Amino acid sequence: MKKFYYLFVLGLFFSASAFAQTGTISGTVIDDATGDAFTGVSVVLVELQKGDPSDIDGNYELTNIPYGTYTLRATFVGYENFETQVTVNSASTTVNISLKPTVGAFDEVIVTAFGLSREEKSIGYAVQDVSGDDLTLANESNIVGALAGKVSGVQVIGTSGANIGGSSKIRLRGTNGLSDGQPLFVVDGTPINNRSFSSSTRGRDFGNLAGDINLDDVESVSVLKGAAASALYGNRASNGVILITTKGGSLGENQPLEVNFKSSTTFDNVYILPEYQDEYAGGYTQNFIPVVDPVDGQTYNTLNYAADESWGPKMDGTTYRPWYSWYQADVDGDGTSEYGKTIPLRSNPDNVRNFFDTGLSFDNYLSISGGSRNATYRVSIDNKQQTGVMPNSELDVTSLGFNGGLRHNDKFISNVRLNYINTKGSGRPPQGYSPTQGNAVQSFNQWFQRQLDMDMLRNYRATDGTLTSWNIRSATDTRPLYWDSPFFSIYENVPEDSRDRFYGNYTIGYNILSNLTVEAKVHADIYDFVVEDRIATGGLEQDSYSIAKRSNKEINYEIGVNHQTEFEDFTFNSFAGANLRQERYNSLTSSTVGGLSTANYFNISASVDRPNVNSFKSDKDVRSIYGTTTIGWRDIVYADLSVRNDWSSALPEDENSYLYYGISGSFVLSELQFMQSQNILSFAKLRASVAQVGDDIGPYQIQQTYGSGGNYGSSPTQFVPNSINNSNLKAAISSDYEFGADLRFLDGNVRLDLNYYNSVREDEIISLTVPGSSGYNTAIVNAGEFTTEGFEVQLGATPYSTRDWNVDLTANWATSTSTVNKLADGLTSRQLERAFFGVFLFAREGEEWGAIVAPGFETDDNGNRIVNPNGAYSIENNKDLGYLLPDYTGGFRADVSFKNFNLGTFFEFQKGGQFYSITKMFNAYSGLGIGTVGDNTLGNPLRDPVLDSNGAEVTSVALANAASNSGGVLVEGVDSNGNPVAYLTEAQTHYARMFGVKENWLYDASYVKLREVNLNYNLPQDLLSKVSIKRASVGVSVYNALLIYSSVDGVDPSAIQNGTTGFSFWEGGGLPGTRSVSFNLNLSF
Amino acid sequence: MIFRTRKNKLSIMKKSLFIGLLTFLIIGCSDFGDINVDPNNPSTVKTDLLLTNSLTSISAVVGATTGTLYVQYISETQYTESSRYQTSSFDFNGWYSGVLQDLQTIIDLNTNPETAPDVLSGGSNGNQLAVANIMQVYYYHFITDRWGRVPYSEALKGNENLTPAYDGQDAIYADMIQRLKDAVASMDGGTGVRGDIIFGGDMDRWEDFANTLRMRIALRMSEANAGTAQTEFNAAVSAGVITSDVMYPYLAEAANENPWYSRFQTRTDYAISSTLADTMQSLNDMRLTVFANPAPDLDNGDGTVELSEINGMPYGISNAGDITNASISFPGSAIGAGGPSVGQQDAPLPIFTVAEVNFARAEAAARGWGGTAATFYNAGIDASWAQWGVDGDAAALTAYKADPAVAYDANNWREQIGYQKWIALFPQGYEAWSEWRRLGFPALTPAPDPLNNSGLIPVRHAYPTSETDLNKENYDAAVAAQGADELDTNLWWDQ
Repeated sequence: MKKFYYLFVLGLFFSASAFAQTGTISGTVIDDATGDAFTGVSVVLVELQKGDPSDIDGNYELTNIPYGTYTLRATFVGYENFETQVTVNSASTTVNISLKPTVGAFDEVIVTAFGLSREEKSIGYAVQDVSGDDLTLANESNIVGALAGKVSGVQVIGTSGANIGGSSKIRLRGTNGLSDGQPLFVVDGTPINNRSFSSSTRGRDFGNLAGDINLDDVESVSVLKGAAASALYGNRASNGVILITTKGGSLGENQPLEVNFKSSTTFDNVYILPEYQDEYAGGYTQNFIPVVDPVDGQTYNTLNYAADESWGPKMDGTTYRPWYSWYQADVDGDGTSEYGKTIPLRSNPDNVRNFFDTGLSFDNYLSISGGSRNATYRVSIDNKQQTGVMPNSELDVTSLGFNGGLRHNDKFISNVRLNYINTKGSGRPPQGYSPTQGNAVQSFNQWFQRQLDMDMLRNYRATDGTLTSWNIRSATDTRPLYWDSPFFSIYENVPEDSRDRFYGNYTIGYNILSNLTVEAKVHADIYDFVVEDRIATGGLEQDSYSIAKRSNKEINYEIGVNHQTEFEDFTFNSFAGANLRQERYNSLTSSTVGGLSTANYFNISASVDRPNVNSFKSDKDVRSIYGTTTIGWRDIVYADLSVRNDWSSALPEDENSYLYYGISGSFVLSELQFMQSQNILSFAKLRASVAQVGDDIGPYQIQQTYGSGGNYGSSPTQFVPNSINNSNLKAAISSDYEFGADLRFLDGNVRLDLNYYNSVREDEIISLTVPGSSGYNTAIVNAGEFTTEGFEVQLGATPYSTRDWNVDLTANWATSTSTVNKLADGLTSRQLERAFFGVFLFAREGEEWGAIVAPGFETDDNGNRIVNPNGAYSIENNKDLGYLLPDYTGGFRADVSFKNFNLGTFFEFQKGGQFYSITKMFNAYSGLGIGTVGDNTLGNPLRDPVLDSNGAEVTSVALANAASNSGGVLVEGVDSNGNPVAYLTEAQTHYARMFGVKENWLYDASYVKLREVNLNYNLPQDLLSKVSIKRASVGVSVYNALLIYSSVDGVDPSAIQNGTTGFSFWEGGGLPGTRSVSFNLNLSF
Repeated sequence: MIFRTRKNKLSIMKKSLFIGLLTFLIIGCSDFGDINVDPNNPSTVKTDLLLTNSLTSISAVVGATTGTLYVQYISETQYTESSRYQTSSFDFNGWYSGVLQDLQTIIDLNTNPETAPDVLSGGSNGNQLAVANIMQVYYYHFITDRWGRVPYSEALKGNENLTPAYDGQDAIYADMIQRLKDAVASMDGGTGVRGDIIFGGDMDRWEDFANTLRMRIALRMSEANAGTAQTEFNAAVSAGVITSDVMYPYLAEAANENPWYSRFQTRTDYAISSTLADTMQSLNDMRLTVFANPAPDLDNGDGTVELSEINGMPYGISNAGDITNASISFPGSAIGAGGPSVGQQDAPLPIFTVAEVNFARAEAAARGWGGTAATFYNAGIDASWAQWGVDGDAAALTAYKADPAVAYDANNWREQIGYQKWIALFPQGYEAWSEWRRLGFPALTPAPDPLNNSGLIPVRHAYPTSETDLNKENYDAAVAAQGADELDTNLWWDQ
């Protein structure tokens, strides 16, 4: 692929002029190492700037060469340059060329800004590449998820696999500013929108839009982390750039047609759930409630069905009336009513697990590629059909890709890349903490009765049509109280979404002079996204329907000039360009108000009250010019200068222009003479850079406007917005510097890359929280100074390599610290987010970003928890509880191949960082979690009543005064004078109190995870050649194979992202983690 | 001239033209025209629409739950943390950035000579100023009675002052009274205000409203500044107070429905408190049959509500335990509650009632500010029974007024008025809470399982936590002047 790109560029240098007396130079190019014919090598007559790439058989031919003596040069990436003097004095001259590979192939090519391929050694900043094959080791289809752990300094906050097609977030180098922005995604030069959408009502997550990128089409991904690397992409690159290059065909005479077919079948299963207790049933007390059945006059044991907690009677087999025994109609659809039925009260340990399905997905991919002397093409089609572990959830993604290039003549090339993706989702699961009834998983982990038999809930409509629920108000009133049957929500409240996405570009290139080319490009990224959400009639929630249509269009017009020249020992490679970016977004959202006029008639016209209808439009233009030049000296020293100026329509007119620059350099130590004499350090490069990148704002934040409120009856309303717009804003500039070294030992068998960076962001444009008493809640200001500093290491080794065996190991590790040096004047603290139930995230002056503040345990000077005389931990409000971001992150990969077998394993780890688990908190509060049962320090069940020395039942008693048969949870600490104390506190009271101690529900986010395992078998070549198959492999891969270490049970710290917003420091109502097993087939013809 | 190739010359020309044009577009100008003019929000404002919006916030004063819990009108059923005073910090930011700022904008636009002529579609400038000022005082009074010292004189100045200082409550009270007087004075006899969902632009009724509010404020400082209280109270009464109940008009539409109706749509979190139910049952107070629905287990099903069918929920216990929904009474449809098909979506809630005016005047008389206390006291009971539509049974009303625990006793006026006002103010929780704090009656027992440190019923709200971050200097000064920022610090008028 990279060869192909070079050919394109070099193909521009051909000239078509003719002279009177001419001859032809021709010959064959071979690989010196193998003796094989070498295709695609650029063979050039330097003086004439005339060249030809070698064809499939390694042949080249340069015609119409005027008689004379010339320098013939053949170059290919990863091979030493070949150069010889040729004298043309006859009709035909033959020069055969043999290219030697450079040792360890160190002249790797990296795709940098604007698709410019650059030799890695010339780059003065850290860029890390991941090949497309490495991304798709296992079947993770979201590019963000697939990058997890594979690039140093990249932290991915994933989502549960149950959230099919859901959003993953990415952090490059910690957080890069107060607002924790996301990097820019660029595919083949086209910026790709990566917005995430969720439904407003119940947190359904419709995915981050970069997830549309089909990973099977990806050739490679370059992660540009620092400003020097990304600055040329302009203001949106201030959080880095994920640069994606897709596959194309190959240029050359008689390129073979290559057909690639991939098929995989994936099974998803829930693999991580909170540990539940299976000893006590639903209720608020351990007593059965006696109820007289009005039909037979008998008294029965009942549970408190209205309770959605599990502090109820022991599940010891006592006979009782389950919830469904109070419905007159047949509840489970077996033909007979369950009315009056009694059963023994026993546990159902797998009831939650039984709710989930095995998810199944089929992914079929076909690509056809090829090329000729003047044209290349590649088309691909992919279809993925998936059903999730959440019942009734489905996702269907179809994508088409086309990549075609034409060499019109010696001067003209053009290239088209088109991608179309259609995504259809149905039943995407609700997420997050919701006060309403919609989220089944929230119910299981927070508000549930442990004894429930999931199968009795499946048939959520009794035979007489009434909706059934376990959570009935009482034995005689079977209307649901807080919760409908979870299956009702899943099967009747079905959202649907559909997105048509198109992105691609058209490029024309023209070779003005042999070393001067012009390229004009049009890039487009367009989507139309329709989301419908429904709440069915008859459930607890008011029925409703909403539909949101969103359209986005971003067009970039770009023109660039590339010039290369040499002067003695210096080489110059320059690029200048201009870009016009147009962003056009509009949406129309509407929802019914006050219910549906006709049951289950899902249409806006069914709105009982005036529906909410909202149209929104957002336009922004950015105009830019930029230039870069790389100066090289003898392949030893390179210097790179770049500069860019942007004009943004969103900034105030007199401040809408901003300029920034970058300087970087590299020094290839190993090219020096004295280094050539040793063979330990085979390659060494030092690099350094200093650069800036500017950032501006979204539109319409300059002028004061007013808001239109909801109507009061037929009267419209207006209000003064809560945010002060600011007509004095200016662009924010962040600047950074970095140093690094790229060292390779023992012919490249050991590879080490080190990088240090320091980035400062000043005058960031933020929506600053101000005291509401000013009349506003926020003010948009330039404020703050923010530093991120960090260190990244990549280590690779090929410790064992023989004919049959190959072992490859790679590891990466990164640490970063983000510090808030300064906030706005007079402000030392800024609230970033408030999680449910009062856990706060702050940016505070002089501290690490992401301070977590919440009520915590009050401690004495020695760190002992203070316990009040009522047996409760004393609470310190607004306690500082540490920081959000991890200490370090990384990944480790081991690939072992033996003959035709290849085993890949990929581990990912994170040390430190914290998250707040609402699931765990409610698991305890509601008596559902395993922690709420067991024996206390006296050896008695901790849920037994707390008894004082007289045997009287109390809420809490000092341990010393407790009866020997007392229950209760041990609460230990010191009193206000520092003397050790211990109490037994009644379990339900204790966990209700712990609900208020948020510190208890903060967990260390460290984990080690065997993220991916992949076993592949390549079918033997001799077998395949008989059936004219070029390559064939079969394999099995596992994603989320094993959570090896985590400080918290039942929640996966690597997948806490729920919904699409926020700073990813809490989970709640989160979907369970899933494990995927895929069976893969890959055929090439 | 660079393009020497003959082939494709035309298309090259076109392309070079395109490229040239593009270059010109990019480099030629930094002028983006109107592209950054917000199409989603209007750049101008109509004061009548601002007023409508400002008046809808009354619902959040009269329909709130917190006060109804503190004075034990209502008991939470299962999740009782609020009843047990778990929350100490309450947020006032939204009141300022929301309704107070909207009203300030009406005031500014009508005051500025440049804009005043443009906003006459909202009514005459004087009348708009009057209503906007009255309503600002209404909301400020509500705010200062919850938090005490609050930003006032320096508030609502936007960028000019992002960190407003707090004013003492005595100064706020003095200014509120002055502003009410000025507001009435500024009424210019011109076109009444438009967008008025309370009085339909009837300026006479706004005058009564202003005087009634002034009367309420004056009475509130009866113990902190008795002299001014008496003067202003009497002046307000002579200027003319309301003669019919002022109700907040909810609509039969989801966006503007009664909040008690909303609360019972899908949940049953709030029951009638046994504190209220037991007191009223013991006095045979028929208003309870409207305040509460029968407990299903006690309902004899004859379609009329009897006192004996009502069972209150114990207040402030840690959770419902085995108390089922079937055994307790929920609020009645008269305040909107009861859920779909049972509740009344557009049930109005009281802002000012004739009963309150009468009890205020009874108290004034008892304090020796003039008038006959017993007359006003009995008139208050009559007005309240009438307000709730239970005055049809004249014998019950007469018997009630004659009950020794009810009949006016000059030696015990504080307790009697305290109890009667408490019942009459139902369900205006915040107003009842203020009057309980001031009078010390009814005698309420704090939640048995409190979550606050003192275990006492709160007497103020703590400031929003954001103030310690965003406005620390002024916050610290306020706390130093007022006392610890917690629920137990008494306000200026409640010493």
